[in-house]
Amino acid sequence: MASGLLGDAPIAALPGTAGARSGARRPGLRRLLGLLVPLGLLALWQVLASSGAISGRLLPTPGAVLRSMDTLFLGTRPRTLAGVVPYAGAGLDHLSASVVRCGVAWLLAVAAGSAVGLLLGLSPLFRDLLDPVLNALRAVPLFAWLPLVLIWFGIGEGAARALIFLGALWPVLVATADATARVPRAYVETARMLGSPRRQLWRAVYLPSALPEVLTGLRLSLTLAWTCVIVAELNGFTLGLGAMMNAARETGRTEQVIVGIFIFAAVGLAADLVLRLLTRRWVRWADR
Amino acid sequence: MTGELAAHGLHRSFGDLLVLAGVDLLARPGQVLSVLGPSGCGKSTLLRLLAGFEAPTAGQVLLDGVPVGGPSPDRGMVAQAGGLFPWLSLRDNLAYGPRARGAPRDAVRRTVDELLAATGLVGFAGALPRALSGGMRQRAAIAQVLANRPPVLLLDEPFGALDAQTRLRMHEWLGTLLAERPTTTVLVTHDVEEALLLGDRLVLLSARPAAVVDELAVPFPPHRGRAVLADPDFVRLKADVLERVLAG
Repeated sequence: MASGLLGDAPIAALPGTAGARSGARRPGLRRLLGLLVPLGLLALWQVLASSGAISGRLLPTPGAVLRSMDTLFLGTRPRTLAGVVPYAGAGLDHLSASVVRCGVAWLLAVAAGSAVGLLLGLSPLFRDLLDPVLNALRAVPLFAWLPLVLIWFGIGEGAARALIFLGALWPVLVATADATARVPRAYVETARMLGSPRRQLWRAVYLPSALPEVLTGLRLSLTLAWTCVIVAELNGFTLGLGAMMNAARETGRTEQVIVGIFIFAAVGLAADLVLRLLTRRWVRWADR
Repeated sequence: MTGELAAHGLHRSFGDLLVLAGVDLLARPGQVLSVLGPSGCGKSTLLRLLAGFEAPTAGQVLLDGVPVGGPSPDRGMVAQAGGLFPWLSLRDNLAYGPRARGAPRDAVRRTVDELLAATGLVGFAGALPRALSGGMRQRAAIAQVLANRPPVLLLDEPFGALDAQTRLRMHEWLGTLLAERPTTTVLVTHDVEEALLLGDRLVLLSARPAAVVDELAVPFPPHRGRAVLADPDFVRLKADVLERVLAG
């Protein structure tokens, strides 16, 4: 039967063609507008810092920050005593220490949060059992855990990972539980009617249906985990971006603190972008 | 031929609300049974009981004499909005049933290719459901269910959300499809024309609580095309049935 007879016209273009993607690209010139504000701020910063209106101790010049960034990543690393936070040439070491610390704790939070979330979403019994406790725990401000975490784990790696884990846990858990509970009953019924055994439903229906919302939770949780890194590293570390920034603060090296801020922003943006790119193919169906 | 679906004294109430008050039905093997009733009379509830999504308060549903329990690939159901999974491509949607039941890969591919051809959707195998128009989606939803070769097909206002022209095209398409692969079909609808065009027999339900008020054989040759719409006998029967539906 030819499709012409049936009068078909697809609603959107087929996947892979440009029309299928929502949100057309803005024209090039309009996109450049977005650069105006940062460039203006940079100019303002340069003027304020070099005119002497604000002391260099409070606001070093952009050039000084850039040179400091260069020293951090490309400088030669001197021999340092144990317990001293290195700066020159130690950029990659700080970066990788923070990224590994954050990544490990985040992955643990994702595993635990999505497993418990799935359980809550699938089983009304678990929901009734755990909801009050989880809501109470969720109401505790994240950094209120810090003293307790330090007592339990002692200053160091364990406490840092525990704090990041706690910060990253809730968004995943809540998003997974909500999304799973909201999976339309019609999908579940269709799957059962087509022959899916009950024990396969979570993989065949619940997970794919909930995935877009779960991934939003994952992105939020990654951002929070990265935020926790700086707090987690304030004490007891010689390697890590947070440790580096804290040492810079103690020695009055404002330009190094600002370098840290830029690295934090860049890594946070990059991680979010990578996460979105890696998961895009599974959630394309839900694109608006 | 098997695929005889019978309902005996189906009752269903939700709390104090009685929706079905003893419905008896017999869908004969390979035939289309149209179930027609006023809006809100409980037609969808009836079909959900036949599909096994809900259990009757009293009475039972028998497929070839065997009582049915829950939902099963033996009774493929398509609702108004269709059951396609929005995250699966059309090909994966059609393959869902056979795969879930562990069919070999080659057999799945053959079945899906054949159904893509029968639905006129060969060029859309890789598309997501949202890229399809309403008519295409409903054809795909019916094909998804037919991939399991069910003895019984249950259709709940399958073309209710489509415009009149598309609906007429779908009627002719479905008529041809069912002629090619005879499947016992229960078609629940409020559209008199649809019921008479596709049905071999017609059951009229009363307003809620629904009970069967009349049953008749549709006196036109099977696999009738839209030409029958101009037949004076068809026009008269349609007007007559419509009156009876409206009278409740």
